[in-house]
Amino acid sequence: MIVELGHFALTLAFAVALVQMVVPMIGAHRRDAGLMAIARPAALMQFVLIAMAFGALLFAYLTSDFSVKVVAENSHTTKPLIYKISGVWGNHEGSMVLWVFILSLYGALVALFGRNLPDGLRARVLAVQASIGVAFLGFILFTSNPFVRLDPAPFEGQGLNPLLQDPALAFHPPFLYAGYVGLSMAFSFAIAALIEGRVDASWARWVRPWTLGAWTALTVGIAMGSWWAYYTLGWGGFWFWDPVENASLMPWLVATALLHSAIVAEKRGALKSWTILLAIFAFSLSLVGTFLVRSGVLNSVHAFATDPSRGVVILCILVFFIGGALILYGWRAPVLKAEGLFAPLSREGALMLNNLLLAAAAAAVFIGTLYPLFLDAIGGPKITVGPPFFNMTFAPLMVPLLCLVPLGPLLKWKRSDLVAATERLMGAGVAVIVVMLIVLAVKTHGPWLAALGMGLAAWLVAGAFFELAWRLGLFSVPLAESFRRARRLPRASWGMAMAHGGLGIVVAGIVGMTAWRQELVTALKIGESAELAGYTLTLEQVGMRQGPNYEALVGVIDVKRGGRDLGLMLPEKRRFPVEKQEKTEAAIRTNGFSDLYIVIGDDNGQGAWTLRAYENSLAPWIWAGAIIMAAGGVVSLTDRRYRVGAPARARSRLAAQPAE
Amino acid sequence: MALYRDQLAEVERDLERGVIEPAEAESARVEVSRRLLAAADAQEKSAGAGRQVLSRKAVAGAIVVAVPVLSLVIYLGLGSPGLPDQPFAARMAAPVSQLPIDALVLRVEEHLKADPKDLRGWEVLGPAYIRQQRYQDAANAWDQAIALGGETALRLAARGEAEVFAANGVVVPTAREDFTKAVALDPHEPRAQYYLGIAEIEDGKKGAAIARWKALIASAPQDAPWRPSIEGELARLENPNAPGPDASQIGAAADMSPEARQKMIEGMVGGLAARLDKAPNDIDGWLRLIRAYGVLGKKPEAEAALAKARKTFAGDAAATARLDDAENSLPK
Repeated sequence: MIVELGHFALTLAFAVALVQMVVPMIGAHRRDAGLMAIARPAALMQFVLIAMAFGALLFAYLTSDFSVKVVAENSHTTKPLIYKISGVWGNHEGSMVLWVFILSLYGALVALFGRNLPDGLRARVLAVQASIGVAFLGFILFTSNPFVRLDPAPFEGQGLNPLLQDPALAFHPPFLYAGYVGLSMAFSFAIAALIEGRVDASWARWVRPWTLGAWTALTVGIAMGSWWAYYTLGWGGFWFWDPVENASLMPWLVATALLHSAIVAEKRGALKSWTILLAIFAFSLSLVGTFLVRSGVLNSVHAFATDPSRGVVILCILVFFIGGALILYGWRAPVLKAEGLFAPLSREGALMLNNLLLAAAAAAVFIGTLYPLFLDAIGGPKITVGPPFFNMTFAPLMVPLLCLVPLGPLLKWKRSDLVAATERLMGAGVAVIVVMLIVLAVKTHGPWLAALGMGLAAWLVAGAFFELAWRLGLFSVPLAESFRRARRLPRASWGMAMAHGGLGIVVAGIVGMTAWRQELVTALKIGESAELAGYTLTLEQVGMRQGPNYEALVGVIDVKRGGRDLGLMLPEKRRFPVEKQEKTEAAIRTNGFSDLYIVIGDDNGQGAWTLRAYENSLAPWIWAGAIIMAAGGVVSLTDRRYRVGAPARARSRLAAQPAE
Repeated sequence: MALYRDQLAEVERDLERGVIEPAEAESARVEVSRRLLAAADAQEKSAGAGRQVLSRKAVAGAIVVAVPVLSLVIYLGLGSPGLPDQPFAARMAAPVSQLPIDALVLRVEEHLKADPKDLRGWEVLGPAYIRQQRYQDAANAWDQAIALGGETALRLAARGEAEVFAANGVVVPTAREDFTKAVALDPHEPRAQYYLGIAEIEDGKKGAAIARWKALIASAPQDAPWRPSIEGELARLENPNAPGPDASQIGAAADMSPEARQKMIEGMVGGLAARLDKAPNDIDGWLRLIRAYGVLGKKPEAEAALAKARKTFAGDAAATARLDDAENSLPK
């Protein structure tokens, strides 16, 4: 009964979403408080109903109810509990349910905590949010229904793709979706504001936390995906410019831009129209991401759906929301009044430059990702756009952006003084030079570009540090005073410093990994040793191990460095009999500065085993940095202060005009 | 409005803390106040403009009716209202006699995971796997049984048969070894004798196969269930012009599941085709192959074989006439 109740709850949610889409919108138009008031209970109810549907699906997975088709196709009784849970979204149908579940969660949060929003805006936001819900619920019910039953039911399921049976990948989709769908809030707010024809500070204040939350979740999701790729795909790469990765990178870039432009919109009332456009693009790219990943256009582990009719429906949803939003924007944007003039050299100016660079970078990724698909679709030649393209386009846009990151927070609103800002970064400049000299001294044979890269990383980290130091008066006032200031410093400032510093750590990790990684490919007999980057690897033994739903070939490798025994490493090659697939499980040993990464391969037929080992310099920093960035987002989110920028007026105008 | 008031308070707090300078605070205050005034203006303009034409009761009533009706209609169209949940544990808890073979296999597997030394479990699993067409698993199960209970003619023959099925009906060397050992232990082991005969046919030693099967039939009890099928095969072997391995004859085949039998037939046909590829000068073989393909419903293969045979016997009028007959008698 529970499964069928879940199915019914989902259809009920669809009907409720229809009401929520239509009635409050009419209410807002007619300024009928009664009709508008329907939005809140409807949003809450929609959430409860979809939660029930999701719960029913989870229940079916947990009890291995193979009379449910998706369970039979994607689960197995021997699968460990965690993968029974993650199996819910490890397939097309279930992942769509997760998608609307998160969507309805956000809607419910607006309904619960949006009391201080103007009634009309809240009603319109919830109505737009519901329209997205209607589209996706309809898509789920009519083309990808997870509650399709099998009768008679098979007694055993077909198992889950072993590549997806992994802790990082199990919880990668919920984070990614929390990010994608979180951007739907910014979108709904943007559309509501366009319909209303008004963007004010309360609008911007509301958009920011949603965008920040979405951005944080997206950062974690992307980091998890990249970490998974690092330790699973067997050769220690962390980013492949794979279209599926790009699909998550594009919304992240635009969300980052949106995050910054929303600050300007909130604090200074400027860049409103641009902020709205970014909100539309951010969610549009999330939808494109969903489309790319789900439609089967991209052949990858993620492409669950290979049914072309689904692709057509997704395409229609895409055209409706993106096209509709842009038309609405073209029609209504001129109505939005621009306020808050500013000089080019000001915080606003810096944030605008940041936006332009991020938008250009997103465009570069977009072209690199979609051009081959487009060319293929119109019958052109099949081409692949690989890392060289992205290195040529993405990197040149990122480098100036990264150079400017520490400068931005030191500029004043409206009008600033570059000299004053650079003076405050003297310390960071010194740090950069020291780091570059150290790098050149230690890695004498290394590529000289690496020294510049590490300098850039140091610039970001030290820039974040000295910005904080300046705010706290760390070197100019007594320590007790600094401490007092630190306690009063808004959380958002801490969050920003963490995010910018974390970015520097990511850059350091990427540079280290790209410039200095060492590789060893060899075949060892039992008892033989090989050397890599000062480590001595000895193959002690090779044996079989029985896992819960796989059997693994395990290499036992003793690691020594400078005569000191560092213990054993156990790379595995797992075979999943139910799914008839194999998966390598690298053994990774980290000391915080570099990873030793070992993969075991096949028996080469002469009694030796193929081993591949890498020493990945600074690799752990990539993910540590990303986590610090996300933590910065969380810290920032806890800052609920209303914000207002204190403009620095040009001295000459101070006497002449009290206000513009 | 409330937001701007909060922002003003914020400016004061910042000033107090020394985060911003007095001049900056002053201009911020002015800016927020300006926005506050604008907001108050807008509020005044919009106030009182609300109108209410639709009756709330009517709207509420429409929603209360439409939502359940719409969702029920969709649900009844898509859902399976009569189908109860079928959680795995509950299904497995049913009495053994009511469980289908798939479930029994799972139960035995579960049991063997806890107690892998249970010989009986493996012996039950072997034939069950064959029924499920999991031939390699069946061979592995017999491996375990042999490891635990030692080699007997029956276990060896069963393992060999599983290996034959796993290899699409070809009597692979390991299987042949098993059968040879089995007949050494018990010359009356029918499966081993049967497959050794097949192996001999694959080798082109028809005579040896005939002699082997004859001896087997002679020593077998009159009511052995496999007797009719082996007699049929023997008859065909002795007289190639007799109708090929058609479905009714094979239907009498021993204690095999339909799938296994199909697999066996296809394996035999495959062996024949392979042999004809090496030694094509055998018109009877070709005719049998073509007929077999016809019976199996494999028209393209039948036609391909026909074409090859015609090429081989291009100058032979009698053979060509027989091939024409065969072509005409193929199922359309």
